[in-house]
Amino acid sequence: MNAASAGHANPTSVGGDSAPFLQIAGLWKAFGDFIALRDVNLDIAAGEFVCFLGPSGCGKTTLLRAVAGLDPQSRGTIRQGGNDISNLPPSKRDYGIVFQSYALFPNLTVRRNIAFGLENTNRPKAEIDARVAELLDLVGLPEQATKYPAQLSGGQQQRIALARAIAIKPGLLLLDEPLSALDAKVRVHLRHEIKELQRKLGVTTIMVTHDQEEALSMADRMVVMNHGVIEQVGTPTEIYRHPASLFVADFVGETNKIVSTFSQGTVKLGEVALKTDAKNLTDGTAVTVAIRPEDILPHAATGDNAAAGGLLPVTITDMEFLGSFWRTHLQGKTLGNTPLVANFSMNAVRRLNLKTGATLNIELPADRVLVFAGSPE
Amino acid sequence: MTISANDTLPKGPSIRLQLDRDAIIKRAFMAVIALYLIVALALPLYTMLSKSFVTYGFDLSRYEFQVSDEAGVFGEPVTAAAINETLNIVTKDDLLSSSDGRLSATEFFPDFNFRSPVKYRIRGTVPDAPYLVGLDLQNSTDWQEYDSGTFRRINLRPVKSVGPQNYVEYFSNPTLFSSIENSLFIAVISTIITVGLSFGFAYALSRSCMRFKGAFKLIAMMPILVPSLLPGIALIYLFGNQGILKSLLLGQSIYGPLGIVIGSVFFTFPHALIIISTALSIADQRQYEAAESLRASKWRTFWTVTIPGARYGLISAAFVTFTLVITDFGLPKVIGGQYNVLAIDIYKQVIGQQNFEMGAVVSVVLLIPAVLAFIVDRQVQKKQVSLLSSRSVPYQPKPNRKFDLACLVWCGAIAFFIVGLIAICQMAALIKFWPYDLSLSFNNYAFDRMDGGGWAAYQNSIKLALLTAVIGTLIIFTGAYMVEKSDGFKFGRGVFQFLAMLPMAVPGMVLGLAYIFFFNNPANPLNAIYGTMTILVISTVTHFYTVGHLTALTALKQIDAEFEPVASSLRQPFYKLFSRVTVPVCLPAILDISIYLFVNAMTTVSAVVFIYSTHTALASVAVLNMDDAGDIAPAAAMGMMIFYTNAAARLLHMLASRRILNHTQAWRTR
Repeated sequence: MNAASAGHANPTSVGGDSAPFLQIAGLWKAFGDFIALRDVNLDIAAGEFVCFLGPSGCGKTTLLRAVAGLDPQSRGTIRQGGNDISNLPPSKRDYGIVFQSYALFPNLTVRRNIAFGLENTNRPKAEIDARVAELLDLVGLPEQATKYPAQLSGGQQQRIALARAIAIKPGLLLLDEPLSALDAKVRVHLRHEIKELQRKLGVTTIMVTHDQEEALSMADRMVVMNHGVIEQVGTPTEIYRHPASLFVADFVGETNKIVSTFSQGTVKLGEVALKTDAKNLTDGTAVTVAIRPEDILPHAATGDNAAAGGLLPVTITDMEFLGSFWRTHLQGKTLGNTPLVANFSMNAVRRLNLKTGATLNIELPADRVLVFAGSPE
Repeated sequence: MTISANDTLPKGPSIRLQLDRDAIIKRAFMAVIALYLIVALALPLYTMLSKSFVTYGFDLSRYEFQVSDEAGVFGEPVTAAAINETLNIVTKDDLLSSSDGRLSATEFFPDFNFRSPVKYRIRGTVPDAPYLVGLDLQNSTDWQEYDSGTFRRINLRPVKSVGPQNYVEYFSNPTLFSSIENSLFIAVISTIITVGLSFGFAYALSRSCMRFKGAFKLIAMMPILVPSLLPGIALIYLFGNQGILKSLLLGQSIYGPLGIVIGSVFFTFPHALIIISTALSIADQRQYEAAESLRASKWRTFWTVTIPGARYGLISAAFVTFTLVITDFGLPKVIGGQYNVLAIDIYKQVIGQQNFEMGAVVSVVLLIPAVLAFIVDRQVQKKQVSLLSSRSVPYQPKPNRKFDLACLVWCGAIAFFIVGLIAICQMAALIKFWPYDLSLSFNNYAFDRMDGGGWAAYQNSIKLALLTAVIGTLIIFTGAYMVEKSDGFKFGRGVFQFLAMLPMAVPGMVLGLAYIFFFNNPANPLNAIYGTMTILVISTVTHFYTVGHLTALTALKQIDAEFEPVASSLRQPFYKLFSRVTVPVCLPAILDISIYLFVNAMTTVSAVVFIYSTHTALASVAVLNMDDAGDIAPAAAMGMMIFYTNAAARLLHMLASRRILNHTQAWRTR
């Protein structure tokens, strides 16, 4: 749990001088015997866009629903804006929510869906109409006011659901997998729009997603969860570049995993010893060495003396063309025949004349090699 | 980072959310409707159950007498039990009595003469030894002295005891006991025939390309619109003592199991058909294609694909039919003759012999198969649902001349049977005086000239049906909403759910009898509603509660579960969501519930036969009573009135549904 308080380096987080907007402390949630959340601690600053990311069943949605008061936590406290909201019912909390299903009221027009939360508040009708029009403009659907939800596309429905949620100017916006039900193209487009909208409104936002790309591209800070615990909190670049655990390294982005043993400041990959600055490891510890495919650098083959220059001779077993780069499968005797995957640019492939069966040398830059205690799951 | 080794919740109290106004209102609503179900169902049933264990009998050892000679000198005291032992005046059977039994004290003194100067003293040997002097209840262990003129007016009263004596008596009475056998016999036979016929019918509808499918579907539903005893009347006209086709029976009598079974098949057919049709409609085209590609014969495909796919539907249909037949009262009453069944026994014990305690015993006996069938059916239904949710490609039948013709013949025969019986009733209603004057007239519709309640009974039925439809739909849908769309309060919701399912397991007769025990008790503050339209509405709503509840639940489950969280995050009260979204979206289901309640309120006999009063006589009961009085043609005419009304109501419901859908549900069309 040490990682939970990490990652205050990001620009949007408020410094230590003012209290965080949302404070989650010592949160546990049990469903019968199953523990869905274990001692979760998290602070979120005002105006931040935070993504909860993790595989299904990791507890991210449970955490969101606890914040919303829909499935109250078993233990622990949640404070919002300085007030303890731990045992307030949803109606007494201050948030807007968008679900994966959108949950638009099918028998009400778009206008009346958005106005739903504005009625009963002693607002004059003209003011409500003006606000609805403003919101429709904001989500870019000014023409659709009189349509029914079923007459709109999925992406349009999602935007209406968003407009309805922010209509009452909530202090907190909760998004539960809001893009999962959409086509890939619409999804990428909406990512950008939601992020823009959030920046414009400055509303503190929590989004739950299982899509790491979504999280990386939208979040100010990411909360990576697994088995009901927070594995790491940090900005997208921190998470990607400096994963705190093998799980994070593996779940966010892609990584090669090689089983090895730590000894005297080095780890052995087959016959090659790599220097590592990993700390807190004692000699003889079983470790997993991780390196991302794009961090493997290709060099021309030089024959037997490759190892001398810290290079590893390998053979290409397969190549897949993925548009902007080649995914290349490698194998080398010196590596103990552990298969590796590397992403080589078009340029490199052309320059080194790489093809299946060809040999080359690869470089594993020391600052890109990550070493974690233990073996992969 | 690894998973925390600490794998259990830290100690401390669990977080409980404060209740907001919505939660309080929802729970209050649920509590009110649960209270309704407790008062209208659980308490009456409990009262009836406890009544079945109560017996009344004279306990002679509790009374002691002292007699003087003519000079007024009293002899030794002697107990009534001792006198009886020597003189054998009252037999053991005579000692058993009912709650208002009386035993004259003079019985114990064979040479009693009310003119003699002899004086009598009586006292109780225990504190509870009630006896009447004239109309004054005495209960004392002190000697009371009476002259012979007064002693003549002394009656001993039975004392109440609790125990299984009633059941012992019931099971040692061969006549009563044979009713169990009879009931089971007709229920099993009817079930086999109905399920067989309706399976064939449903199979033809879903797997053939025969013509007139729409007409067949319509005809198959006709029996729902009439009281269960109407086919009995038609059968009497066909095969009764003066029946047109009596000779076809080759000497067999239609009065008895034969008539009951034929009539039962008629009125249970649509119920079984609906269930089996649903089961067959979930068939997966791909399974049949797979079977064909494996070169399985049609016969083999039928047994390995069709039957297993429909098995839950078949089981469920069998249990529903079984319960309907075994709990039905109208049909055996009309055409059962001397053939006793359980439902008839209840009626005879209560109406005929005024033996309410024994009526309660038979009710409990009847409750057992109904509850068992209900439990099995619920288990099977759950499995059926899980089959339904899987995605499949609907089966598309291909034309096959021979097979289609066979299907047409099968369905045509059944449709002829259904339409035939109703047509016979119509004919019976219009013919002046069967079989002597066959000219047509509306004389039989002049109900005011017959016993049974006249046209007022018909008006009462309409009133009951409308009230039941409106009030029942309101209660049932609101209750279902509260239980389905609220959070937490698991225990309360579980109790509510149980109460809502219970009515399905309770036969109408049993409910009616339970109402007598519960509401006809002067000590009950609700006693005032006894004999009014109110109690009829309450009993009918309660009797048909479960199907409505299930319909509402199904509709509510199809609504996005996230509407409530969204509304509360927008800080809107649930009743706004309920009235603006939930009710409009569920309108088709709400209309279905109301027409279901209307039609059943028009046709039900068993639930109301014990609790109607002279000014709340109902059309369906009038059919029964006119038939009982020998006015069979007017009974048929009244039955047809119910049919017209229900058919019109259905038509109206269909048109209204369409109109409302077109008007308010524009959102359904893309």
